[in-house]
Amino acid sequence: MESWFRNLFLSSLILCCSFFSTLALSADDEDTQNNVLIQPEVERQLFNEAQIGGNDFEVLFFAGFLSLEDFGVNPLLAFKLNYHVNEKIFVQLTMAQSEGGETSYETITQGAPLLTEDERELQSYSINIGYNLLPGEAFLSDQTTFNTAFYLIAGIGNTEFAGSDRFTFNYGGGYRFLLSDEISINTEFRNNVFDMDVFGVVKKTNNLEFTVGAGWFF
Amino acid sequence: MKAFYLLLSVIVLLFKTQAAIAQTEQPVPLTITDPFIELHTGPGSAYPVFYVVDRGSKIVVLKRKTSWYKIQAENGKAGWASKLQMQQTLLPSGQTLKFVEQDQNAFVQRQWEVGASTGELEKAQTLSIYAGYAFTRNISSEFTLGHSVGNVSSSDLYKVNLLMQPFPEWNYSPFFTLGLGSIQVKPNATLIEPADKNNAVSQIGIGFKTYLTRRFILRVEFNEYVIFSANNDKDENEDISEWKVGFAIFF
Repeated sequence: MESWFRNLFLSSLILCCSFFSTLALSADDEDTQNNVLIQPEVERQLFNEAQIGGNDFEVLFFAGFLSLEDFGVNPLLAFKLNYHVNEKIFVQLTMAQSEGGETSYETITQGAPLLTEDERELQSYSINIGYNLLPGEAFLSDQTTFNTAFYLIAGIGNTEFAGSDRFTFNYGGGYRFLLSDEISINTEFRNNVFDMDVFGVVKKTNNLEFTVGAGWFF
Repeated sequence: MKAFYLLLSVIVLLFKTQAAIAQTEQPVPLTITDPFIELHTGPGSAYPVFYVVDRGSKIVVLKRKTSWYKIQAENGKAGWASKLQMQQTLLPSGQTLKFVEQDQNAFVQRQWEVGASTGELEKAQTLSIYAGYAFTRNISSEFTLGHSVGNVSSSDLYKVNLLMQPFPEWNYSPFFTLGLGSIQVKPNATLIEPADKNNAVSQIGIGFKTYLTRRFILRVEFNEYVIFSANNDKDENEDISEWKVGFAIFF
């Protein structure tokens, strides 16, 4: 009886032991697996593109001359905003102010002026797309190098002159000279094409504009 | 002059957002895992490579222009590396540097949108600029300033509208607009009757937006306007239509 009880007790003990050991083993397995899953808990460095200051916008101030057909060559001031989409393409908003001088007719006849002072004021704005055709470098000396780009630009806009708004198409080119990563010196040459009807007939005019300016990337 | 102030306020807004984005934190050193990173003299593939940083070297990122990064090697050499190569660099923790880019998803979650478009308003060439604010992913409000130039007159249009975009995540996401505003028609100076007309307008429109690249979207729309010009002399209001194509940036 005793031996039977002992046998039963021992066998159940072995069973229990083996059962718990398997349990424990499997638990160990799980533990190690869990450890593996948890282990690469490293300090999260929240670092992303946004933290690197981007310089895709550029504000520019220009001064130069506008050759207004029939109205002579006059000073022009312009304010521009560039957004550089990628290394090749940028978009530009432009606001410009100039004025029309005396026409040859007015000078010769010394008669009544064709336009009032207010009507001689010229204001224009345009939306443009530019393409950096020739990015490159300028080597001023062996040691000093500046990044440059020759770009083509075209756009549409409006010119307010002689009391009317005139739909304007413009195209041209420019040269950007980067003094530093933030500051640029620019020169632009553009043609502004719009219809004029000051002399009674509607005619297409080509008005050349030459400006020099400085820009700041932000 | 109005347009000038609008442009100026857009710049101030842009500057503020840019300033907010560019935090003044210590630059995080990165480890190069590519065999090497090429440093260009300028932010573009056309600028020559003047230096190469080897695998395992540490670098810091100084600034960004479009998709080019100005980085500095340990020996002080600084140049421009492309985003493609930067994607392989490692953080001090051993993680790959994640570029949280402006993408389609950022477009869906945008808050501000500023754009310009051109087209025709009743056979007159029109140009307009607008600024929009998104209340939710689907609903936004926009303020539009338009200027159109025709053969006999030009007009200024101011408009506030509500824009409903039911499927913002679609590649070509359609939208519907409903707006109110005012139109001022100015006959050309050479005409005998130079009296300006100022009328209220209501607008209904349909269009779509599509994400192009970085912060850039293309937008095409068609609008139908009712000009409330009926008065004692005239019984009927005028209907005019407009189509426009434009670009916008979002942030």
